[in-house]
Amino acid sequence: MNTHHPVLARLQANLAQVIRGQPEAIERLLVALLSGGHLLLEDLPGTGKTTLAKALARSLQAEFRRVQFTPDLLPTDILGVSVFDPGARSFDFRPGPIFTQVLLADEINRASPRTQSALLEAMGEGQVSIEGRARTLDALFFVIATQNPVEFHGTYPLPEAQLDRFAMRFALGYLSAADETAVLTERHLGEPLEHLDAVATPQDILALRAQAAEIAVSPAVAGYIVELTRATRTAEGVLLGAGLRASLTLMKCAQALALLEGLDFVTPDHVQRLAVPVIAHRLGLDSQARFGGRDANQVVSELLERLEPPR
Amino acid sequence: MNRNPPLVFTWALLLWSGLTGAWLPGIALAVWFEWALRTRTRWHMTDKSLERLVDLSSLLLLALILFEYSQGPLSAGIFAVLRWSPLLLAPLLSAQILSARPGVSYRALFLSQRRSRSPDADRWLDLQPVYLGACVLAAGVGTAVQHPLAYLGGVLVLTLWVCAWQPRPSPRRQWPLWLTLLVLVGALAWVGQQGLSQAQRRVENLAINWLSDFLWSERDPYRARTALGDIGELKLSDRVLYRVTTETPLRHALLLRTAAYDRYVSTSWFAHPQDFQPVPRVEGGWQWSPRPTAAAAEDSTSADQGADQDADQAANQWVQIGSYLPRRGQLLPLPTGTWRLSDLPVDSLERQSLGAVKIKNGPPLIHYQALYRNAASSDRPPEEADLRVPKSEQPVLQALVSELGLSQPGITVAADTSNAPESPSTSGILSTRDTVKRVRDYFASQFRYSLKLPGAPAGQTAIEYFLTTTQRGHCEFFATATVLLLRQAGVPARYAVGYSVQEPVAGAHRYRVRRSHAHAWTLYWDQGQWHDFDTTPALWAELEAEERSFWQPLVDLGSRLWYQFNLSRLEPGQGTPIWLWGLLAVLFALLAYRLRLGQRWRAAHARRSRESVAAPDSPLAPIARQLTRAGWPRRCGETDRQWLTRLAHSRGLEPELPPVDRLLQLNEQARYRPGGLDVTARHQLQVHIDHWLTAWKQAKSTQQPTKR
Repeated sequence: MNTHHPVLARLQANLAQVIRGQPEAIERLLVALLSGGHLLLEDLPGTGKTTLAKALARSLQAEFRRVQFTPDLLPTDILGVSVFDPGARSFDFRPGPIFTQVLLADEINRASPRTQSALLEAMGEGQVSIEGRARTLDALFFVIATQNPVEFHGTYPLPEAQLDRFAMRFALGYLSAADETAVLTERHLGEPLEHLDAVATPQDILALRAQAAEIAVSPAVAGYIVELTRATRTAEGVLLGAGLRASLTLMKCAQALALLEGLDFVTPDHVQRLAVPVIAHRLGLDSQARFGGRDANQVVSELLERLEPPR
Repeated sequence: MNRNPPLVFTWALLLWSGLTGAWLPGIALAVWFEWALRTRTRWHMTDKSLERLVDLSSLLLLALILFEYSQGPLSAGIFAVLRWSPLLLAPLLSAQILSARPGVSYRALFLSQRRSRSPDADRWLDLQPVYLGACVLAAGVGTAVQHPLAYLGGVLVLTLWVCAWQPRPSPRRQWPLWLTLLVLVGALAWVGQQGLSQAQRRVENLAINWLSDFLWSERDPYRARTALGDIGELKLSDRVLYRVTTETPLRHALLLRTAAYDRYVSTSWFAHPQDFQPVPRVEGGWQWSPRPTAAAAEDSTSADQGADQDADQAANQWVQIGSYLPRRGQLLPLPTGTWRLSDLPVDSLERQSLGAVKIKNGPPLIHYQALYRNAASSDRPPEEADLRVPKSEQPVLQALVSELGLSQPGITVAADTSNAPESPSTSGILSTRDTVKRVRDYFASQFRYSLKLPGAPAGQTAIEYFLTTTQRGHCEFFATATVLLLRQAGVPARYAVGYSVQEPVAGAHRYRVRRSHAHAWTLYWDQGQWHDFDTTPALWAELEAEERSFWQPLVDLGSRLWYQFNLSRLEPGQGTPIWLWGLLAVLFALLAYRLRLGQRWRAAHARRSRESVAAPDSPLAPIARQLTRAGWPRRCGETDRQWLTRLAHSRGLEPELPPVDRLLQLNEQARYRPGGLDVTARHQLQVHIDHWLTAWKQAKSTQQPTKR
């Protein structure tokens, strides 16, 4: 029986100093990181999205960039551009903010679809093609995108293909009164983020990713994952079900969660705990379901109640 | 544990038993609850058992409602249920007190919450204040009116008792809440008792009056509005109104008349407003005409019934008619020539000179017998009105009379007949019998039945349009046209409405009469008697039947069962009827299913589904079996970990289950880790399982003596 991994334990403890009262959010953040996927945070302003991203970068000693998405943002503003150097009489490539290790794409749905799609290749392939030349991104490359679920004026909803590139989507939510009070007391003594020490390196994370990929998934659990994603395609009120990428991501995330818990195998409980954040944002509901008050999270929760897990 | 004032249940139960006279159950319950509140004996009760107890109480409630309803009206049944509510709630309160639970969970109380995963379903409802309220309410029902002082005094004493008792110093004093609740309950019982029955009576009367005025206008003995000249389609409901049993099988449709009319004014028929006269009561019934002799009966054999009818049968034929009786009374449908009614337990029976018979103040269901012969001699003899034809109709009718050769020239229609009612046309070339025969042939050969209402063009009356142009219509057209044509030919005639008996049902000479069997026909005067004469084509009922929906047989079956049920429950002087035993048997079967068989079936079902979803060699299988048998089955979609963790935090199982964390870890390794467990770990898992099973059995055996 494996014990809890020391690097992950340190990371969790470090992040918990800054992100108060959100152990589940920290767990999901690490799961997304270890699975090699990217994260979409959908929440109201002031719930700690940026802090979460910054705290992660700082804890990892990783390079961190932040891009505020606006309607006039161009793809080159993210990817980079070649500039003519008169001295050298040649074009010199100036890499954009995407060439980093942890990227915070703030309010991603405010940028035009063209700019949003510039992220597609980067998130899917780990490389970008600029002026006919493929440039590889850092091996750790991890995107944390945020979007505001309330304001719709001047926004461009993310296309399904791009949503599918995100491993998970979840909300942080408001803190409890006690936690909020604790945050105020701590901030009184200074910004905790400033004092956050690095407790791991990007190399540690890459090693852990390799380790996570080796976590065993029994045929019964794999069958359960497939059954779950397949059921979303025929669920009532669902127009667009989850695809193969959802099954793969759910498996990888469940492996990462097992690693986080110090196990070397995945259980149905892991799958159930991650099913909603991994699958729900990939579903498209029909108008009858939407106007009837159903949302995708509810659809997945109902499937979890209906389908028998392996025992 | 007991947060209530001491003896509060005793006071409440004594108040209830004192006012309702239920001393035995009241005192028994009081003693029982005082013991239950003081004893340290505990009733081991799972959530499942509690659900079954709630089901049992619901069944008891249902049985009580049915029993009370079988004894009288439904409103009395509802009050009776309220009156016995302390008895009905006693098992649930006993379970709450003896199992030391804070209340009964919503999951157990409401069927809709049984399978819910919402945490709201596991909230508790404390039955103790509910029970006190029920006692006060039950004491007030039915008795608050007779003994208002005793009731108010009792409630006051109880309130003071509750207020005077102060629990240990507590920051939240609850007595204002108690006081308000008790006053509220008392007031509710007081006002509700008086207001409810009055409101119910008013609403019922309003509804009946409204329906009668707008829908059942043909029941007015003085006026019958017809649909002559209307546009559209005539459609009456297929509700069964009367159930008829005859002495012999019917060879022709039997006409049951509710009223007759003699004046026709612009598509409506009227009867001369004349008061009803009370009918004398005779032994075993009501009789308004002397018993007819065989000779009289022979004379009365009518032309249209054919000569093949036996004279002796005609003298004393009978028909039994069953029907619901509206509260304000109704007109009885009777065969023409009825002279005596029996088995009719009503307060008064009145008869009008045109033959309508009205009853008042009877039981909700009547089942009477009418003795009749084929023609009526007791109706008022013809008068001038019975030969009157509206001027607007005369030209067409006169032409028709000439065409058919119905009356010889020289006879004036409205002349001598009032003083010479005996067969006015017998002096001509045609006897009344021949006239009637020609009219019958005329309508039979050239006219067709239709429910369509075509309306009449301007300048023509509805009857004129019917006779000259469309030659099709429904029974009101035929009846009105026949009456006017006979009158024009010098034969006194009246317009009759009622029902046609022709739809046989299973059983000897039994028939059902629907609202759509409502019919209109003609009465004509011949040889000193009024005779039925129906010119509507005989196919009309079949045309009506074609319009019926395909589920009508089901509706009829339900209606018949309901009628039988009411017949047996309202039949005086009967013992416990067989249906009551039948209902009890059904209830008992339901109970048995719920308590024993249902459990087995569910266990079998659970086993089957488990086998199909999980491998039967799961190490946890013995534990899963034990828990399922004990009424703690796995919910749909739950993993082993979720299931056992939930049960570990469940109130009923908490002290019984050993910790399961290590057990679950080993089980998950065995199930999902490649290679499973090594020998040592496997042995360890088996030890944990055995330990759990032993602890479970011990806990069960120690609980057993207190389990009831």
